[in-house]
Amino acid sequence: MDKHHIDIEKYLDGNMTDQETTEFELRVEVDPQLATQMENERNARRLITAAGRLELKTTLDTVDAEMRASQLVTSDQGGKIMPLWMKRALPIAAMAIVFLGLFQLLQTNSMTSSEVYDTYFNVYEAPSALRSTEGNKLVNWEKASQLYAEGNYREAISYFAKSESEVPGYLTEFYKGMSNLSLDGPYYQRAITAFDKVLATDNDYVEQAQWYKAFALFQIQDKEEVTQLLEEIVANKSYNHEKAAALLEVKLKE
Amino acid sequence: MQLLQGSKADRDTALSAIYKANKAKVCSYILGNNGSEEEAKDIFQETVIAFYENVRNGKFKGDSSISTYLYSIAKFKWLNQIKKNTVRTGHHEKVEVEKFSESPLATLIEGEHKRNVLEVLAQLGSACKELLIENLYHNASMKEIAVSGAYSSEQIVRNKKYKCLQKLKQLINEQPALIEVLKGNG
Repeated sequence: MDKHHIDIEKYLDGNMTDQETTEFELRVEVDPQLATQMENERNARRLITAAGRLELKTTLDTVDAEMRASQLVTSDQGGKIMPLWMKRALPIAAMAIVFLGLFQLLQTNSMTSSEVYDTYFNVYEAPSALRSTEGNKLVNWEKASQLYAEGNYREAISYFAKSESEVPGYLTEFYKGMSNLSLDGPYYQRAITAFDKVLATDNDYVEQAQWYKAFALFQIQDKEEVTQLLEEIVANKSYNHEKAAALLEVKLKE
Repeated sequence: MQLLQGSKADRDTALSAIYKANKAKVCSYILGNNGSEEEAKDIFQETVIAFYENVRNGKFKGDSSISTYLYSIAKFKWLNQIKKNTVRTGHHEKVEVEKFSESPLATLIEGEHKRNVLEVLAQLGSACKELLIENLYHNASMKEIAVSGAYSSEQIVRNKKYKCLQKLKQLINEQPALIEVLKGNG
């Protein structure tokens, strides 16, 4: 742990005296390296603030759902007088529901992120050879395709980017997305951005892009959007709809 | 109030009680001022988060009731929202926004930016994510984190936090676009 780090933490936590604060701020002004470290620390804290808020929002969404469910039960009862047998049966029914819930919870498929990756992710086949039109050579596209087929996804991404003028945009975006997903440390958001561009037009890769986008959303736990997209894939029986149905039942282990 | 500054379980219990006790009042204000149900829910949730942050930072000391305080924050947020919408739609009616002394109010990160944040967190790993959120967002001390389970001493928590922060900074620096978003959201 370096000295800068300790001072930066102390400063950002407000644990310096007035004199220490003044001295530290002067040091930041004259030391670019310290200033950069300070900005990096601030950015990390900003991201954690955003993450903390998102986590709290999830908690509040759960509370909201509970409230709506209990309001539904109350309005179903509609102020009618409940017969005695029903009053007696209600606790038993409630217990049965709890046990059923617990049973279903135990049945829920719980997996780690890497288990999900190994189970549900397949690298999409490499592009087949395209015929170049007159005077339009597909040099970068062919190189990108070759690198992708060899599993050199990092380099493939840059060649797919270079081949944008050689082949239709949805093709380069789809394979950029696939390459980002296939990396050892996948870049899910970059993949999602690429798949969104595929989904913006009507082409032969829309269904595939939907599935792989859903997979990426699942891995980053964008719960709102992933459920909707997986349900759409299942309802339309589109590409990998069986996997999508199975993924809907999976709970990611923390 | 003390529960809000306690363990995760205590915090969730307190937030749940506050949410349930105040939702109707706050949402009816927004609904009565041309807000939709969805907008009312969003504003109320942001209000509760802002309130929580003010408690945690010692800005709310209990001088007014929680209910009054939440109502003021929600009103401020909703008037601000109307003002933004008015500017966006090109109507330049003057909307009076009373100044709210507590700031910054929580703003939730949305859309693609939210997914960028989630991606960084996924790459960071759940142990680091939990430790940093508990310590830096919820202000849990090293001792509290050590006692809560996964670590055998405060020093181990401290070392782990340092490593997690280094990893987080590296992940953030790989995404320059995200840095700009974070600056506007802090």
